[in-house]
Amino acid sequence: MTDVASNVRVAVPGATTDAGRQGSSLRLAFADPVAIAGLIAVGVVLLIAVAGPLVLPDPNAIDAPAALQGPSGAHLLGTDPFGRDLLSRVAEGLRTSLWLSALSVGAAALIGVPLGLIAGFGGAVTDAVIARVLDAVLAFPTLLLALFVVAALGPGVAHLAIALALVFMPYFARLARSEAQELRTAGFVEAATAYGTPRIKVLFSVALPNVLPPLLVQLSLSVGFAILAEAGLSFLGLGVRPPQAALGLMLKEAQDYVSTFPWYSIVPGVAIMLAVGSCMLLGEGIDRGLDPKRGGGFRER
Amino acid sequence: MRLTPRNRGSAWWPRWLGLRLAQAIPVLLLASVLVFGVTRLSPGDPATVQLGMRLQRPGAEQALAALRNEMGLDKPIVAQYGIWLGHVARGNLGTSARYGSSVSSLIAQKFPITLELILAGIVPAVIAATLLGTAAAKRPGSPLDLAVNGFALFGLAVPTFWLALLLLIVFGVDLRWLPASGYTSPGTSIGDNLRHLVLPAASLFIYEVAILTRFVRAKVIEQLGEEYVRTAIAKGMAPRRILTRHVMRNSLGPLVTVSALEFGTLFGAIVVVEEIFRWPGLGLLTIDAITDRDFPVIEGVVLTVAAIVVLANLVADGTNMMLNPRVRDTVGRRT
Repeated sequence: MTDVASNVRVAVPGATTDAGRQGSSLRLAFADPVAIAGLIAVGVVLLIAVAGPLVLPDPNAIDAPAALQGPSGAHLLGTDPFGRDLLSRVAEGLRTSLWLSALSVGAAALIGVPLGLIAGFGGAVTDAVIARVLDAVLAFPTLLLALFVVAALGPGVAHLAIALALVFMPYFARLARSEAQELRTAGFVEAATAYGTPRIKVLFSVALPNVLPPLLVQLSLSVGFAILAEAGLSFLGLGVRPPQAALGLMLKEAQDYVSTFPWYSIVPGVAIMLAVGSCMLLGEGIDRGLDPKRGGGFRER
Repeated sequence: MRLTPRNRGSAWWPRWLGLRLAQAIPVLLLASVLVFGVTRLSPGDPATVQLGMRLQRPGAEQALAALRNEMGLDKPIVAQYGIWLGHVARGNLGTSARYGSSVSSLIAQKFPITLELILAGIVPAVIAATLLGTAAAKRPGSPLDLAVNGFALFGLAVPTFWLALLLLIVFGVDLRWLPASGYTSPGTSIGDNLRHLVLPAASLFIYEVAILTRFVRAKVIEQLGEEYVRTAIAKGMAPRRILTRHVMRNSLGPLVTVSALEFGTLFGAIVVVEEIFRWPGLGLLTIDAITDRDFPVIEGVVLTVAAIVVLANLVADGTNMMLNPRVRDTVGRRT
């Protein structure tokens, strides 16, 4: 049990080398090997999604005699019930998933961050109002709210993107708000205000760059969660519609083949896991680089 | 002799409750505005949307006219919201188009079924996460820590519904150890009820264990770096005692808070899990309602879940206050 004591020694301030802190915060963000691993993993997933359609067979080419086959030379990951190439469909599914998640998370950040900055820098009343609105959105479980919005608007990719943007927005706003609250009393912000810099300029040119590194963490984690949510909603028939390939949709189809062709359930699931896992790895890596003392407790919103 | 005249033990909670309710009530009201607003975004006449498939039945014309009148569709939107909120506040969530019964009675009937599943997933997860997270935090970077971290990342990245599907294939279809889907009420047979519970609960368990283990690990590592641990070591306190008496005790409060948040999140995750295992709780009710465009049911479930989440957070916050006197002193500070 001496390990408790040894751990304490490591965690004492000054005992760790803070040399990395000399660089810019963004360079620091990618200082951790986990971040590099995450970056590579995200790169591989992106490569499959982007380059896949250029080199792989047509994901919609039907070849009935070759239906439900395992991996082979002609079809590297086998075929689905229509004889379509699974790897091509996974690549297309990943592409759909990635741009949809990036788009909705991007929109969530674009709305959430300014909202949070305004709350954090604004007066007590503005802050209280925005904070309660965020709490109200957060009172709904992510998936249930997205489901509800899509059910009301009707299924489809555009509605799915709106739903995902809405459910992820509060996380960005909360992050920006807490950073802004800390910055409010920081010397350089007070100095800028004292020099007569307009409030709005202080907000966006002074505060925003400081919010950027933790924002990167939240962005990559959120894209991961958005991929999961998109897959879940498409699985329930509320997201991407056939014949477009989506990983969740493939899993829904695979449900009919669980006893006859379980391989079909494995491939899209592994693809989702890799895509989500690489985003989370990247997020965690950046987080570690920013704060070496914190061993990655990223769900502590 | 008391060194500190702190008789705040009985005095902290009325103030805390008042402040928390002052937050919770506006949040619930805003959540209701969201539910009302999103439903109104649905294309078509609001009364038609509410009636759904009942429009095809005889006498639909009169029902539609009556409902239009009841919803006050000729009045401004704010008045319509007021009418709707008045109904909701009295527990009237409307009538299900599919079942013909009141939405509140449907929810009351399905809620215990879902609660059983969620508790069976999260309670073991909290216990396992406390043990795993603490063990990993004792030696950061050790093989055990790496294994725990790797497992946690896997648990986070794996889609719950895919995991559910895999569990179903392996244990329900291939090995036939457990029933693949369905539900038996505990009143009929407790053994059967539990056998049906294992697979869906395991799907929720794996995800939750991942999230909570990461949290416990980070919290314990953070606490081990605190000055009081150094003091305790300097005083010659046994490491095991430091861990159980101080570190775990200080980590418990935050764990309660996060577990309550996760308890709420699971009301979203159960939708897919219940669909896969045909577990007839709130999730399956929601999915069926979406398929049938049975809007009163969807609205009712979403609103009820939001209320449960707000209440769960309130209870967790109160528990946290009771566990940790230091947090009590922050009552009333801007959050």
